[in-house]
Amino acid sequence: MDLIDRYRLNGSVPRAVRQPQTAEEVAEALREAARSGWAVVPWGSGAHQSIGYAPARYDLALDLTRLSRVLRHRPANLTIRVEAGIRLADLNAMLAEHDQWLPLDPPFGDQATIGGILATGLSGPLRARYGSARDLLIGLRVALADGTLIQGGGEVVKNVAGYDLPKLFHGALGTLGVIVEASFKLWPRPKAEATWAFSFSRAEDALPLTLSMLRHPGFPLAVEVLNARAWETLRGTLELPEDPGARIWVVVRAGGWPAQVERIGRDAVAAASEARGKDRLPEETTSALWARMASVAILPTPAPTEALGVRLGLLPSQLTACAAALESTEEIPVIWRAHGTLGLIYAEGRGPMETLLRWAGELRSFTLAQGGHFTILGGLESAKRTLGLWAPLRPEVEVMRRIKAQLDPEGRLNPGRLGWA
Amino acid sequence: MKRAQALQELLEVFGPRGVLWEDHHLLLYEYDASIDKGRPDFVVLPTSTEEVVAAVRIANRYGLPVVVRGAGTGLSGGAVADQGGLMIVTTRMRRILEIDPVNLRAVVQPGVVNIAVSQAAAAHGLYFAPDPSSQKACTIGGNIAENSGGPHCLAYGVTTNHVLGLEVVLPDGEVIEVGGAACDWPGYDLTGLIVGSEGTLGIVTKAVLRLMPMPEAVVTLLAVFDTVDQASEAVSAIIADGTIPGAIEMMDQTAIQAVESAKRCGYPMDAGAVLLIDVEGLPEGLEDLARHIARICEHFDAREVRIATDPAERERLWSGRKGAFGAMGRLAPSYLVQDGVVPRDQLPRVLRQIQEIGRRYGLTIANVFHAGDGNLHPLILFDERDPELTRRAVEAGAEIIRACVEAGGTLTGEHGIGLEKRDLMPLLFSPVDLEVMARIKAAFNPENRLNPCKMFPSTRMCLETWSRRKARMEKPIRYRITPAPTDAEEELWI
Repeated sequence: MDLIDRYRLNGSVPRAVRQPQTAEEVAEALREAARSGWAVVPWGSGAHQSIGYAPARYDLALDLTRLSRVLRHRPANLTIRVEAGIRLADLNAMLAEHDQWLPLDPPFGDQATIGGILATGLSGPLRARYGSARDLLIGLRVALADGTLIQGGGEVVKNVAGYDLPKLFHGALGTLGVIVEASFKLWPRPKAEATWAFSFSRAEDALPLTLSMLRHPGFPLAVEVLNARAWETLRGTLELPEDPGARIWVVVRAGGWPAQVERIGRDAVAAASEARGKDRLPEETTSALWARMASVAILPTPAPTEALGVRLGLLPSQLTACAAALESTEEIPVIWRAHGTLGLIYAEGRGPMETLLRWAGELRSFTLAQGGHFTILGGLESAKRTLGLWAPLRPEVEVMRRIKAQLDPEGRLNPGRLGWA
Repeated sequence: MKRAQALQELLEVFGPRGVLWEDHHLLLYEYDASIDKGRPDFVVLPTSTEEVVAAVRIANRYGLPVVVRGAGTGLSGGAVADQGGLMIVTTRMRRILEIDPVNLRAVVQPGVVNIAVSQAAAAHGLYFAPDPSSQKACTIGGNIAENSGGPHCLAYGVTTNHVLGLEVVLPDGEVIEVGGAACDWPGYDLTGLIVGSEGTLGIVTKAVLRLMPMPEAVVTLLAVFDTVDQASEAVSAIIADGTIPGAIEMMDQTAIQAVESAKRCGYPMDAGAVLLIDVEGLPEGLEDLARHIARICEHFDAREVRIATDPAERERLWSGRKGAFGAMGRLAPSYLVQDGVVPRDQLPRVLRQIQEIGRRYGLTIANVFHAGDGNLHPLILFDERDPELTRRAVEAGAEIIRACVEAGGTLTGEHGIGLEKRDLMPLLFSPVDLEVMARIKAAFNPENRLNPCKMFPSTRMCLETWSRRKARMEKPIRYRITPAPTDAEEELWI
């Protein structure tokens, strides 16, 4: 395959590819692009290039995966500074030697690079305990559209000097600048861990469990809720409990000192009074399960043609109503998964596009009526155009547009990704 | 003329009890807890978002700078109206609008006092985690502006990690909502940008906060050391060991002696340093964890480690830390507190440097700080009435900040830049970094009317206005009701 084909997006290929090896080379590539008026799309592993609209213009693919060094790990300070192209998996393998980790587990985390995780703002089940990359990020170095290198934050865990630029670039989909370095606070790995799986006949039966885990002072590592179809996709390759009568599964991951782990497990079992099945999963299954979990109900890139992936942001208590809305139509086999203590829900539907659009449109109305937000995460460009990438669009968008105009006045960084930026 | 008209318009909106304009009233709003002062031209006390909008619109019509103030406990001059103008005081916007005990959310107005949120949530076993030492007085709006921290932010993160959404009045009077009760609102993270922006991007009129479950058990350790070095080595070792306690606070000998004579909280007067450590969460295994940490302290030659589980005893141990700044009054009439942060493995070295700087400037420096975060609070003792001592204190403070930055740290961990450290920003940020921040400011606050001259290196205009206004502040104030200003009066805010 031609090198350039690897960077195909929505049918178009860039005019050129650059694979810089240093931050300076990234800056130089951006300066060169600025001179030619080229539109630039930053690349990590490409695992989530389908998020957002396809870029409106695409001249240069700026591949950052050769910026993959650890710049400074201070084990006694629990902080690390890395280049943006490093893979999360490689970083955590290195940190494991110190009994530390960067506790992030985004979808397709085996491929994901740090820069990509930051730019997309995606998170995984561990977020229940550790927050998202937003909460762990303490510093950034960014190359702006004109090739200027700037920094925000630093390498200390508390810092209020200047605006919190790391927050601004997190989740901006590469429309404001190209992240070249990032520093994080790290966490010690839990001394012990265990995972329990609970099956329920109805979503409302699972709610007492998820809500009690939300307010549990032992802070469970993860509380994932899956519908039966989602559970079956996992059971296809893993040794997991089976319950043909279950509609909903809740998987609780506890970590900490052994006595704390046992206590969280006991409380989870007690709160799951309506559960049909309650299983403590064997250790040999759990690491494979959690490696797979974050990608359930997330469409791969590029998305299959007859599929649509969405994300809903609601409150944890709205999960029951949401479960009903997600599976309101028999025509589409929906796979969904939620961070049970956070109210973030991921769903993928497969079927004819017309039916999918109707399903997604109804979900969007439901979410907005509940005061939440709705995003199309994956699917055909035409579907995104028809439904709009996200809702609600509030007056704050005008401020976002002004920020974009200040930082990338020519609109050359990932143009059109957010529709207005 | 302009002044009288502006006052008239403010009175129409806020009534005589909602506007202050006489010098002897404005005097009370000319300072915060830092050492800078500046008198506003008017103070208004809104009770609603609509009134904030009205105030902003009036300020715009008359070209008045706008400075927002909560309880005035800030330590960097962020709420000081050094350029004059209209001060919006949020203390009458103190309603807790909602506590959602199921989803662990609170919706509050900006003037709500930090601890009031936790008190309102306590009935549900919940609390608001950021706990600045001023939490009995400081407001949520101020916490948001400064991205405040506190002792227990070691385990739970600072204000920005606990704010989910905001209602914000922009400098043109438009009201926008950013973020919300759900996580991860799409688009740029304006909430994250506004938290910590020191009132330069918008005026927060409502906030959605994240609440946390209260720990079921807390154990407090007091570890006594002969030297600061031993104590800071122990802090590094506790962090490196992979245990993150709820809080690790340190006090050095100067602080211990002041605190102990004021509070009698049981710290040994001859100790070189004490660590105050909270381990908290589930009771299961908690005492084992406390003993594990005690052993680490002993390994670094702690001569005594006390473990307190009883709430009254814990309270007594913490009372010294909480009253530490106040107790400094026993040592000197004034103190200047710095707020630099260093990587935790640099603590021993930087603390030695601070002592050396104190010796060089002939000033006593006490240290009471968030050791677990590497967030220093050197208290430089001096006498504000002595200009020479004041100059030396300010210079010593700047030198300490330089030492922090050189050790890989930062200018401020939780107090903000404000007026106090604005001219130190170039130590940390290059001209292009600062330029980018200025452009972001321009996206919100293009005419620079919101909290001008804060956070960024001072311009000549800032300094000239300030020196003119300062001269005026030094004139004696006549304590009598004066008639509303007349046409002849000079335009103060120009």
